[in-house]
Amino acid sequence: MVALINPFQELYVTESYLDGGAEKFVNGFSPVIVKHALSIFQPGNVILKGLPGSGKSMLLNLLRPDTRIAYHKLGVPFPVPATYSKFIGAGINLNRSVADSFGQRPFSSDSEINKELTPLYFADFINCWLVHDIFSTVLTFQKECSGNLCDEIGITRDINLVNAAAISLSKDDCWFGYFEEPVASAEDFLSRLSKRITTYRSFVKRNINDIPKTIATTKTDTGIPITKTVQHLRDNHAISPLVQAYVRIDQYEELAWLDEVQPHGPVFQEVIHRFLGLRDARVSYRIGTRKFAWAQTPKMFGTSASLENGRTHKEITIDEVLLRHENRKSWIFPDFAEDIFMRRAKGAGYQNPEIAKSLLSYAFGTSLTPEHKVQTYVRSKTPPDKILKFEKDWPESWNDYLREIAKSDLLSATLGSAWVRQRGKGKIVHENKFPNDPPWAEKVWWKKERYPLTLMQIASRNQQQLQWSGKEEILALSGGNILAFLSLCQHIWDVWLRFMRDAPVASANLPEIEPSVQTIGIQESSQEWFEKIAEAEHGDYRRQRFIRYLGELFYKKLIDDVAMSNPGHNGFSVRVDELDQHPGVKTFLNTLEDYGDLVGMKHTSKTKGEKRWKWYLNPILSPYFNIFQVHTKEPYYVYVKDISGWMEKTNPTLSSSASASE
Amino acid sequence: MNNSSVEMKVQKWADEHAAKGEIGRRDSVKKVLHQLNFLQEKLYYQYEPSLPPNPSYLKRLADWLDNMASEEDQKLAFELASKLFFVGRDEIRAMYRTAYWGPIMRWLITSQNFPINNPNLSVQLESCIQTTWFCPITDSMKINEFLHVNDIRNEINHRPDWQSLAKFGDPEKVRSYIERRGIKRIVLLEDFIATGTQASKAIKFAADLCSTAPIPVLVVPLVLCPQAMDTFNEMKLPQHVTIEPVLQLEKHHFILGAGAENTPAFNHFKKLAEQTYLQVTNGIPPCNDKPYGPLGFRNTGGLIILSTNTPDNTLPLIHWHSSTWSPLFPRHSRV
Repeated sequence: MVALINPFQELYVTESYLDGGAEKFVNGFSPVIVKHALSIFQPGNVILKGLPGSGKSMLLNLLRPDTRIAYHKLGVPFPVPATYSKFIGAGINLNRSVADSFGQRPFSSDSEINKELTPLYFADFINCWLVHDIFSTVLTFQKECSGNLCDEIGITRDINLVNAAAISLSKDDCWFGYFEEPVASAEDFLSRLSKRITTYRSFVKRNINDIPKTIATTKTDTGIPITKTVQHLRDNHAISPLVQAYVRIDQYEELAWLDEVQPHGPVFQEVIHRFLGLRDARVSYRIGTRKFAWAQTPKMFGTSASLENGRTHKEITIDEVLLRHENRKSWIFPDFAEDIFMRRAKGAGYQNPEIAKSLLSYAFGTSLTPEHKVQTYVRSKTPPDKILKFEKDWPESWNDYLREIAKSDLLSATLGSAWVRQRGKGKIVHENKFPNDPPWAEKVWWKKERYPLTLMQIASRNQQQLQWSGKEEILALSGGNILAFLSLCQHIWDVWLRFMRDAPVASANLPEIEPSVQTIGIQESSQEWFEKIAEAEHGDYRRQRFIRYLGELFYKKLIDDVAMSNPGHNGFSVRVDELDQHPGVKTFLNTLEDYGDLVGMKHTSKTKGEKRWKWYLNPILSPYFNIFQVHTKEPYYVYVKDISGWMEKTNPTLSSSASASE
Repeated sequence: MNNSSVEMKVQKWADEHAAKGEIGRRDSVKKVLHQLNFLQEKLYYQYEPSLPPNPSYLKRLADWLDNMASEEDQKLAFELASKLFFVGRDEIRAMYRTAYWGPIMRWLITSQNFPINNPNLSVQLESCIQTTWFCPITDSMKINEFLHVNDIRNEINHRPDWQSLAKFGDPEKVRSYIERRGIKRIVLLEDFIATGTQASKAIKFAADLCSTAPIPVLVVPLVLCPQAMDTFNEMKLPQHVTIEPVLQLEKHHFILGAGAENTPAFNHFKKLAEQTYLQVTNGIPPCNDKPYGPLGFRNTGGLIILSTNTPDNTLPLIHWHSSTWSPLFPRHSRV
């Protein structure tokens, strides 16, 4: 008897993995994605955009020194190619460092002066923190590793060179004389910098009354001490000139939420932009953020200039890297998911079968064909009339014709019942004789585009929910989001374990999970995903109500479409120019997209030259609403007033505020 | 896949609701499944009459639902399963502590007129404990566990159950023991009192014990049903007897005989209990013998399960075993 565990119980492989032991991180991290995001490991500022759970933090964690050391200690090759691996990483978590608490306490009783001072102190705090972290990183590499890793990166083994760098940096005029008393060593430098950082934290937490004069008169320029740090390290040969310094700024988007409690959030973001605006080759910044939390033209503090994609920084959207495009062969997500699946299963003690090429296929099988799915929805004893839904004015001879087809091919018969309802095709029902091969049989694309809708209607007419199973469907429902994939696996495994609760288990071989079990797990995962819209961090019942309305609207439209004229109405499309005139609606849709409730994409309109944008529900929500996730044919064409109407029905206050802003 | 039948059954119901566009009902039935799964793991496994090798809760649930012939009744029974009030081991222990630090301490302080700001209060209370006789009303109350949990130590070693004492005991011997041990007061505890029929005899025995110099009695039911409170009120107990429950249930926690007082859902459950009764009992109609009637002993209509046993005031369709009925929480009954 072997006690089985769920390999997907813990969804995130981020900080908690590092805190819980380096080995866990190294074994759990999938290197598959690294080669598609190499910009992160090359000089230049990078904004890494993506949905929550898309893998941003996971990638940025590779910049952390403790990650690098973990790989080294375990003898596992570092997943970044050697050409790009000569770097030191430092970073600040704006939330944990309490940088985001600046502004909760005024630096001056005069509100105007305070408005000027707060961003300056904020910038100085970040400067100090990052300089401290860069030096700490160098010292950590020296202390924690044998010389090999230092040589590999290009860090000196000689502590005297690091001390010399600290001493010369302390004399740099970037500190405006803060280190008047001579610094003795790197440790001494760090301890005095720590004191300055602690003083700020004490002030913010109201443990001291004032910012001491020694700090108030030595506020540093945004980003300058950081570039100087790298320069002094290089000049003193503490690091090789080839070593890059990559600086992570975590929780950047949380600054936007500060706006609700104090007015400095946007200004703090402008300060962060200023760091990037320095465009100094010695230091490159890395910021992970949701797609729309990063403005199109981010303003910089103290200047009228803005950041510009391609000039001051490079923007990478991880969702686009992982989302499936036209060419399936270039889709990297399946390999990524496969690798993570293998690592998780192995980590949980499951023995993987050696014969299987794909463990995902082994555990979940391949997705069922439409013909097979029909068999799961309808048993042979079910009368075909229940499924085919005849019109009252159809002659019995035509109905018999469909009944006959249904005996061997219910899918085709159901398609036929829709075919004759389409414009110009209804005459056939009154003919005396019907062809052996029905006219829609040869319409390959017409049929293919309608299979998902046909299955949905068949399932509904026989009181079934849609079935979901197999590797392909699980990957499709994940929508290129690794968190969604892990969540699906987690729930499937949970259901499987529930089913196996009292069954004796002889071995810990990787299971082959039945489609019916997968379906239940997938539905439960979908339900959780829907509930999370309102309940997770920054969750919002307004977003959830809107998504519920939309899901139910799509369901009704698709089920009522007995002619199957609009098999693509599981999404909607709107003209771009019309949307641009209604910023309130646009912002709301962007927010839904930003949190992954909706997936937005360009839409080639049926009207030539017309620019449109279309949205679908996040694929993982499809099982919850019992609608298919495949995008086929034209989506539902709507006007902004339709969307406003949906907003009005679900969130009256939101709709009126959106109108007011327009 | 031994335990999949409930899962598959519920999945079928969920499918049917979803196909009708009833997402709320679908979610609700799935939530009940998750709730029962959760409670099985955290709570229901403690049910003593069904400890291994007896079937697990989910197996019993599957068999119990299969008692019902129609799918509609199965759905109703499934919903009923989620309305049961299960008092687990930890909850009982928590009530032991609450009984001691709540009703018992309050009674000691008020009856002795101790000022609560007196720095020596704890010493005074400890002295009172030495002269307090803690006893169970019936043998279902585990008095030793109560004493252990609250770390109560005194020299009064005999702790008989007062139901037996009332039936077989000699009041003179009891009075003599009280005198010899210097007992100044009696605390009678019981884990669950539904109608008060059994408990009232024991309480009366204690109340009448010393007619010339009445000894104060505190009765502490851990869980008390409203019918029992009515019984005690009718008894017109003397002033030296106090009833102070830890948890007093309300009328709306029960399926009542008068349909008008029930919620619509409870009336559905009542109807289910009535229409399945003869199947539950294998043909025995309601009478004065076990299991009495569709709503249990004295028509209580209880939905309560203790981890130690199910009271006979709970609906028989929950606990009664016969050749035509598999119970959800089989009651361990005195034959």
